[in-house]
Amino acid sequence: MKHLIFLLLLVPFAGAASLQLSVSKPDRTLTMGDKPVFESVLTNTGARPVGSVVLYISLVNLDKGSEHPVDLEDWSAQKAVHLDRLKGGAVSKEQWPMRLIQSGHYGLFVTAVTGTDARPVTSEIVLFDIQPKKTVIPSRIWPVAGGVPLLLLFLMALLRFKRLRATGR
Amino acid sequence: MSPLLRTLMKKEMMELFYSTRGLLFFLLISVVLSAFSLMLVTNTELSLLDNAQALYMMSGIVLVLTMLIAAVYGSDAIAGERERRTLSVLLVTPLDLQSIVRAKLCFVLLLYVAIYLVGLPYFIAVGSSGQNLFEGLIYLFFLGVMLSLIFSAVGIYVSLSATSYKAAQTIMLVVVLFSASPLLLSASLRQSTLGRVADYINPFADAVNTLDAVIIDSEPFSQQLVRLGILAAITLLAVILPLYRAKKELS
Repeated sequence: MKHLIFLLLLVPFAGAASLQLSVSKPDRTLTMGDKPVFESVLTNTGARPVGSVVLYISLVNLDKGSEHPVDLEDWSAQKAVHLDRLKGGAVSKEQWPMRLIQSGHYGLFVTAVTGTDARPVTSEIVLFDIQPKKTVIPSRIWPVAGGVPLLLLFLMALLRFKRLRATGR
Repeated sequence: MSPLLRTLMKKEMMELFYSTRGLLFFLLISVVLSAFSLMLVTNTELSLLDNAQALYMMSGIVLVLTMLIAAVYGSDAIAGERERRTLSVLLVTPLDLQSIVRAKLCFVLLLYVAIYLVGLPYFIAVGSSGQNLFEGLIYLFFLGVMLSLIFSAVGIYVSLSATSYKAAQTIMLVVVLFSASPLLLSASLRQSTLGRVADYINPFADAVNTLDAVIIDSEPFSQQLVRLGILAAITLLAVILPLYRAKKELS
């Protein structure tokens, strides 16, 4: 009887234990603006099928002093995937295209949540760096930011001068 | 365009472009855009979207100014002329009220083109190293044309029936305030059903949402069709209103 109770207690965790999740990053230097594709592999190592699995990606900025989770709104159009069923022994590969918005040191991981298990399954964190890219060219902005108001001021002064000359003052 | 109509347009242009006050208005626009550009240059932690965000905000500023100016100018168009006692002078010329309304609408369009041209160097300087500059500029031009027509036409319509310029201006400022609601309301409030409907029927909201979708989210033209269609329909309706009213006053 004791053995039976022990086995019954293990049942809720049987599904969770049967899922294995890993994620890989592209093998190249990543720069702001790049669109790399990360790949996750979900394996059902158990014999029983697992139903309704939700997979989602998470990104964390790990820059020293400003560590924070990243809102993926601008980074990824595909933030989650739903699998109706994963048979025992089956493997599901998912691709996670991303657009790298900001430079820094990051960690990415994928989480699988099933409707039946209390514990989510999480992959290991993949660490990577995004190299900065110059998004603003100051030599283009300074002349415009100073030049246009100065040009308009010059026009105003010219008009005033012309008017004063016309009135003979 | 008849010579008289051209003279009327010229008079309006002289009042604005050849006056210190008119140029001061353009100077103010350029100072605001300069401040925005310099904020971007001095920011050391820029993301890929900051150019696009700055371009979107600058476009928003241009649209807000266009909306405000078109509304104020529209409300002055007839009521102001009436108060300055220049409307009767205009009406003794072979120009009818409908032609005057048409000339005023054309002038507001020219005014918008001038505002757009003042902003153009800024858009190029900021956006050339970012995304969707070309698309953003095309959309901004046409959205600005439609907004300037809508708000000046509604302003002229109010101006035709208002008892005074002050009354017409007050009504138009309330219209502008309501139209600027996307800037005042939080995103969550605008996500509700009522908020979404209000966003669709508000021409200013349609314009800024289209710019957001095109410049920041890189959405294609096909996804803008509903908003652009609504804007075009509102523009058409708004332009017909004062012209119809002017025709009715004539008869």
